[in-house]
Amino acid sequence: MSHRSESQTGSHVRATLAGTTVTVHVQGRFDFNCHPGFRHACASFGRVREYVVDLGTTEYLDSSALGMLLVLREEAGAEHVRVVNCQPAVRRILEIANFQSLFTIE
Amino acid sequence: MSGLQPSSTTTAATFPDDREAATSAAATAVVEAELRALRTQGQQARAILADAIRTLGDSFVAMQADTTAQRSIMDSLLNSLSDTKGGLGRSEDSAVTIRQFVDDTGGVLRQFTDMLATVSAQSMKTVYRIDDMAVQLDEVFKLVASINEISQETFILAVNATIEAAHAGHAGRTFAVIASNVRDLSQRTKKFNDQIGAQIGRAQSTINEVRRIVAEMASRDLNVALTGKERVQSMLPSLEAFRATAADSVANASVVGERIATSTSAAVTALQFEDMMSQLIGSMVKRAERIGAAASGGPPPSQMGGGEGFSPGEREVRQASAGDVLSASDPVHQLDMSPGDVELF
Repeated sequence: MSHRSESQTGSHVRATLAGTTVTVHVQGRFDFNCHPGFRHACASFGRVREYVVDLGTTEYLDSSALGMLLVLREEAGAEHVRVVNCQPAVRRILEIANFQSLFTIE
Repeated sequence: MSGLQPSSTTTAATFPDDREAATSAAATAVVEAELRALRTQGQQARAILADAIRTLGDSFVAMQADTTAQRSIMDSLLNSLSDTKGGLGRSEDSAVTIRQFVDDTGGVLRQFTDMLATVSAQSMKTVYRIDDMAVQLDEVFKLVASINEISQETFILAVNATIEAAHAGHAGRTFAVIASNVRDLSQRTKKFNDQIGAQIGRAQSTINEVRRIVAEMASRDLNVALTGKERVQSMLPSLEAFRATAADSVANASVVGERIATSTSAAVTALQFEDMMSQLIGSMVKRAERIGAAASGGPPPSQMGGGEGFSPGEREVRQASAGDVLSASDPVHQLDMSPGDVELF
């Protein structure tokens, strides 16, 4: 099962379901324009237990991406959200924003 | 000039030759003139020495005062650089230490990024709600469109009924009136519907405007803010390192200042050599006078020149020691400048 959406700035948000885990991939710029796709991707499988946000192909984050991650954390529960495959630039932003104390970052 | 009255008359009598006596008197005059010059120069040397020593002494005393002032400045600097807050009533002191500043700035930066993230999350939640509202308004818009269809169909129905009533002729007259009323109603419905549609359109554009504003609030480029935070954060340890280095350096400078104070006070002590030098010069003049007296065979120098320039005390001492064995009348036995050993004659 998967869901895919494209934003007007060319970013792709793709979600796949495996068991009770939804993995959300954000490709390109993770910014405000991704919000409908990201929200939809997270909600498209109904109630799931775990969320994995894969930022392996994400080049850039703005503050709305931090906001989206925080809203997901609030809705799913802190222990059910993991952020994985961060590139150095992305990881730097997450760490400066102190997200390592809020999320499991891999 | 009293030296020119030859006291050598008593001794001159022993010379059988007058020319020999005249030569001896001339030699005595030369010796006495030289002795006077020697005494004057000795006094000049003592005056120059005393003057130089006084100036040196004054400047060393001033240096001591400056060193003390410098040490108290160093101490207060060291206090403000020190990372201990207690002990000096610093709690009621409004002065902020560098360590406090580093801690406070770190705290402010943490609050700043937390706030940034919180505002972004709240903005995104607002955006999600606005999106939901827009979807709901779209639904209302669809319902309005459905009502429009109904009123359109009602209108056509009324038009058809009017046509049918006309076909019925006189019998359909009443029906024609009803059909006309129905057509009016459908038109009024359409008019209201259009107004509702226009209102919804305005609400939608208002919502889009709100979404745009919130989006602007939510989507900030983090690089500038976070790079700034990173820079300040990396600056804080170097500031702390600077504080530590500065504290060490000031402490070292304080130690050096103490050493300067010790050296200066040693120098002030050493300046007592003036006394010894002065005494030595006095003694040298005295010896020269004795040599002169011995050479001319006249009386000891104390009776000779009246000792102009020497204080009465010195003259007394000179008289007391007149005729002493030379080595026994050395005024300064001391060979070093260690304090407390100065022997005044």
